[in-house]
Amino acid sequence: MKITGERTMPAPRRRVWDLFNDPDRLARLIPGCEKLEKLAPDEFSGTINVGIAAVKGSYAGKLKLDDIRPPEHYKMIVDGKGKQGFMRGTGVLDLAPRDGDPNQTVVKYSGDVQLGGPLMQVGQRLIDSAANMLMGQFFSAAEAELKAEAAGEVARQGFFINLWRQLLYLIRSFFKRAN
Amino acid sequence: MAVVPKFVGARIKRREDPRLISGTATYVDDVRLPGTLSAVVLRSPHPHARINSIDAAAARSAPGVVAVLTGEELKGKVGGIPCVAPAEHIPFHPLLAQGKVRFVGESVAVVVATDAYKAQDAADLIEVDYDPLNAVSDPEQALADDAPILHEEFGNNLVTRALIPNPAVDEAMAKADRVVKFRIKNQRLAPVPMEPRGVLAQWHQANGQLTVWTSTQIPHLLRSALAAVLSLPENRVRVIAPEVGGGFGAKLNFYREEALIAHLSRMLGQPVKWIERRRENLATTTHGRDQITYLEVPVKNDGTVLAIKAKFICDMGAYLQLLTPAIPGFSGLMMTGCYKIPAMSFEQVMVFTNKMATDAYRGAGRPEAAYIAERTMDMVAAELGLDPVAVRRRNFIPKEAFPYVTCAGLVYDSGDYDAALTKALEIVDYPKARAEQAEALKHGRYIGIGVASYVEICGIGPSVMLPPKVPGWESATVRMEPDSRVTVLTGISPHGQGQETTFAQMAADAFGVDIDDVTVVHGDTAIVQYGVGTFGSRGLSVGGTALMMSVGKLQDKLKKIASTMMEAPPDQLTFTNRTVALQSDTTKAIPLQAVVDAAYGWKMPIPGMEPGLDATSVFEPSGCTFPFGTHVAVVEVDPETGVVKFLRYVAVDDCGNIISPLLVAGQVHGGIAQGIAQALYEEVVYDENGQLVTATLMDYAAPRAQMLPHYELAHTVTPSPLNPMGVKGVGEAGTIGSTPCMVNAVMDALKPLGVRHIDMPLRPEKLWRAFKDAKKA
Amino acid sequence: MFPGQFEYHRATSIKDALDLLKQFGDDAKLLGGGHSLIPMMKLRLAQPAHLIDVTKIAELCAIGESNGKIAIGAAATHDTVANSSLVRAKLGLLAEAAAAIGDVQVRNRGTIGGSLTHADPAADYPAAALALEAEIRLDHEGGSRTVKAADFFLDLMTTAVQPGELLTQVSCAPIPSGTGYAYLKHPHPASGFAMVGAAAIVTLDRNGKFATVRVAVTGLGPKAFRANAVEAALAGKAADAATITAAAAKSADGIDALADIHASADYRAELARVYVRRAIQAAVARAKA
Repeated sequence: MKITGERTMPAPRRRVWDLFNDPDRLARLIPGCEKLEKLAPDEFSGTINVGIAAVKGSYAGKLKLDDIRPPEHYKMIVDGKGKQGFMRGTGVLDLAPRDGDPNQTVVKYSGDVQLGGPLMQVGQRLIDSAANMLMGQFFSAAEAELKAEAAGEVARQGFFINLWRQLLYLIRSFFKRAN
Repeated sequence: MAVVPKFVGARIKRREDPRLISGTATYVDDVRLPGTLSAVVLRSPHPHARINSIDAAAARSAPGVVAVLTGEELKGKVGGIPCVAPAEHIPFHPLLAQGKVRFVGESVAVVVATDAYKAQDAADLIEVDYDPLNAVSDPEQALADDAPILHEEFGNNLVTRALIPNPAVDEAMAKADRVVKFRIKNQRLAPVPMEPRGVLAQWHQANGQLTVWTSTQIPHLLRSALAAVLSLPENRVRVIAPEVGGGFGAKLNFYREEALIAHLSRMLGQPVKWIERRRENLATTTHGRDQITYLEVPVKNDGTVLAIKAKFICDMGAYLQLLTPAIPGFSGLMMTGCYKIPAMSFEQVMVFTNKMATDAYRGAGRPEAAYIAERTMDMVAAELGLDPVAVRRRNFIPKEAFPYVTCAGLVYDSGDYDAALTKALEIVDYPKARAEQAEALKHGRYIGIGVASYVEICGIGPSVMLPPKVPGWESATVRMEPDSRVTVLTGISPHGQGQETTFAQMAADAFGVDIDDVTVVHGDTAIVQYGVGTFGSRGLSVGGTALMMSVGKLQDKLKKIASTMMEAPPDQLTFTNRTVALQSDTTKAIPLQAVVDAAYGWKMPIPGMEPGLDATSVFEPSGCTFPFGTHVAVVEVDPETGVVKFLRYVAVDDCGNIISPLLVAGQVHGGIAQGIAQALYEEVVYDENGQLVTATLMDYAAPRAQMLPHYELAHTVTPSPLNPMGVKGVGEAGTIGSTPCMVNAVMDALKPLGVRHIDMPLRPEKLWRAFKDAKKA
Repeated sequence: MFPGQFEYHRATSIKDALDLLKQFGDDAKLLGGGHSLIPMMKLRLAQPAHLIDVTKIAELCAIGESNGKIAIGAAATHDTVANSSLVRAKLGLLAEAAAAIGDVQVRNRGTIGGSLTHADPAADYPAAALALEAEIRLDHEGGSRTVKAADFFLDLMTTAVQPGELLTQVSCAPIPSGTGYAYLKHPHPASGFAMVGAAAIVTLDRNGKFATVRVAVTGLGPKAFRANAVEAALAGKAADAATITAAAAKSADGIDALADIHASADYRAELARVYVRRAIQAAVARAKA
């Protein structure tokens, strides 16, 4: 199965990067994630319990990161299995600031995954859609997390700092227009 | 007394059907023995992986579990699954994977429990630690130097390479006006019998005997194989094929589970049953076809075909089953079809891949051959701008030429190919159909007319045509019981073909009794004399001949006895209306029962004659029969969706003399269904990593009634000289004619687009793309 | 292929079913015809501890007319719906969709409530329900709510049904006379599901222009949907071939199409365009007749 997609996240690239490397927060965002542990700086292990309609299953697996270039790129090597099937494959994640807006980050993902076992055999017509749906759920959760984080930060930083930021932004845009 | 009618040739309803359609037939799963344990097989989800370890501790202690076995524990206790066909590389074929798994579904462990639910619960607890390896599912890629190797001991994935060279083919190439070259594929198919496989084994400890009920086409051959694998004397093994719900060649085999379940029953001293589930059936029952053929055909501009040169890549799967590497041979030998093509040569490369083994499937090598021959005729016609019918007629073997020795050395027994073609074209009104096609095209409607003239090998056959342990003869015992009822014990093992009807028709007529006076017994090695089995459309021509030989022996004896009672010479007597009568005047007769009474009586009328009425015969055919025919299809392809709509389907089949017209029609119907399904719908798909994608009937497109056309059937009758009934066989004919016919029809519809060939199955999407590409160009 | 252990409960009334649902919560699945659930259980992909069979609840099997609407009980089988004289007379589109489902065996067991709740992306009913603007009644302990078909299908096999809720009834306003409708499908060669299914309902004004037009598509994407772009392109326009073709060309816009070995996403999208066009044309022809 090949998965590709793109989502824009409402936060600067570094923040998105940090989020995507934080097992505790990822555990909350990944649909059905029950456990996610960092075994090494580039290795995670975890369990997810995920299901669509009546079909539910628990999968345990390892995720190894490779070709890490903070805060823009990493490669994932995934190996997971459960009673209903297994998956093995690689994925690539690229983060780039959105053109003209450093406060937004474009996340591009692509993966090449080998699936096997009863679930894949029975649900081949639905697997792509299911993967897309779960990806969508993950990114929506990530988006909400980043928004909440930003709101929290604004609150912490207080009124004056925020005002100062907005002012700077205005000045910058003014000069851009002037050029 | 009511007159007993004649049965041969009459439209008799199948005597098997009442029990089948009322749900009272006894299949393996219907056999219930007290104390039976259930087995569930744990199967590999990986196409190729090393087994590091198997932890079955939890399963062993699960409720109801009696035993758990893995491949390691079977080492040295039982043999492997045999392949009797010759090949360079025949790997050891274990009952449970040892060290490695090589295809999705390969058996890894077996759990035996008090019921199947508990066995499945326990199987779920087994932890297998696999080390996945790269897999190969494409047979051409499997030949590459860097391909993953399935059986390391061979150093590559080659099963065997067969080369039939012929310098005359190269000469033909030099003489040709043109050489037509193309590549075609006979895709992998799943036989999908209604009843999956199933095994029940009962070990009788007291006398060391084993009884195995199994859904098979070959109970006797299986008995021999089981005895060998389990190291048991053959006379202590009894195999029973109860009602068998379809085989299509997939049950002409010896499977892991048959040996495994028998071994478990012996080990545990209790009956053990295993019933295959549909998902297992699609993954672990043999598949058919899976041949790629590269063809070079030198032709004259007038359509004369000078030779055929072929290279086959044949996908054998991960292990070799009973006949796996023998099947492609038929494709090569038969690829010149109905045509007087003077020379042929071929090379066959058979390859291991991470897939289930292929083996016989309805037609077994001949559908592939007919597909090659009939696609060749259409490709030649397209290349030369000739009518496909004209090209066929130019190359047909003329009816005067029979018996005809083909360039492959086969002896075609009898035939009149042009007669079948002519009849089919008359029925469809070919000139009118062509005119309608041309008119429709003006309105943007794409109609296609497909013709396929096939010939195939039936009545298999002389033993020399088959591997050593699968002989070609067949046996029959005929008994006339003391009440003058007839019992037929046949060595074939019908599983839907209907010989309980045809053999009863033949025996009834021979003895002048009613069809209900005849009982046909088969499928139990403890009751029936050794036989070979049902496959290759051999039941009637080989098994039926053995039957008629035994019938003849009994007739002779009855006539001899009757002659002493009637004071007439035996050769002037006949059997009619439950009497033995004078041929010249059947009113001069004595009751058959009186003759039977004498034969079973305390004093034989003829001194020295053995009492009783019982005769056994074995028939070894001197040659194969070659049924033939022409199928014509008219279809319309929707350019917007690629959907194929059936307009006409005409099948003219020549299977020699017909014993039972309704059964012949049934065989042709079923055959056409499976053949059209190959052309349009079915394909076993493994993805590039070796995962089975068509693992359920939600994805594997087995045909349903509404996916098939209305059939218009007709026959020509060209008797075979090789058996007393003049029959040829019809079990596979429909499958063989219909696949190329349907593909030719669809390709004919696409001809205005300049499309010559698209590989099967002709899914609507492929046809839609052809229209789309043509529009672009 | 043997399901894990479960307990079977035959609900005798809606209240009984809701009580059982409350009692067993996540461990329970409602059982209709079982054609999707039971195979998943046999493969052990689904292992509910409790099955609550709602097909024997008499009031769930009824089809009737009340308050100007045709109401169909959730446990009515496809065969019942396809052959109900009331449904055929007043909700012909639904009867057509029901008759197009699977085969006889499936139609004899499968239920409308089960099909809608399961929300298979290739099921036939959802397209008809969307085009008919059906209202779906969901009962819970102590009450009920009604969800419009448009708000019912949320994503792949995901619906508005909340835990503790039971789909009890599907109701639709009868199709007025002078309205044309059609449900056309391209069946999947193996499963019989819709590779693409298109439902259309149209009425024409006196000038032969589209007065109302509702089009829904199933089989194409992760869920059935109303083809809003198609409808918008037709509204108020003349019901001629060119207009319909141009509008139907938008059938797959913005949809992430499903794909399998029998049909790629491209091909499914094209099938949607063709079948939507043909369904609208057939509906127009009937509206004119």
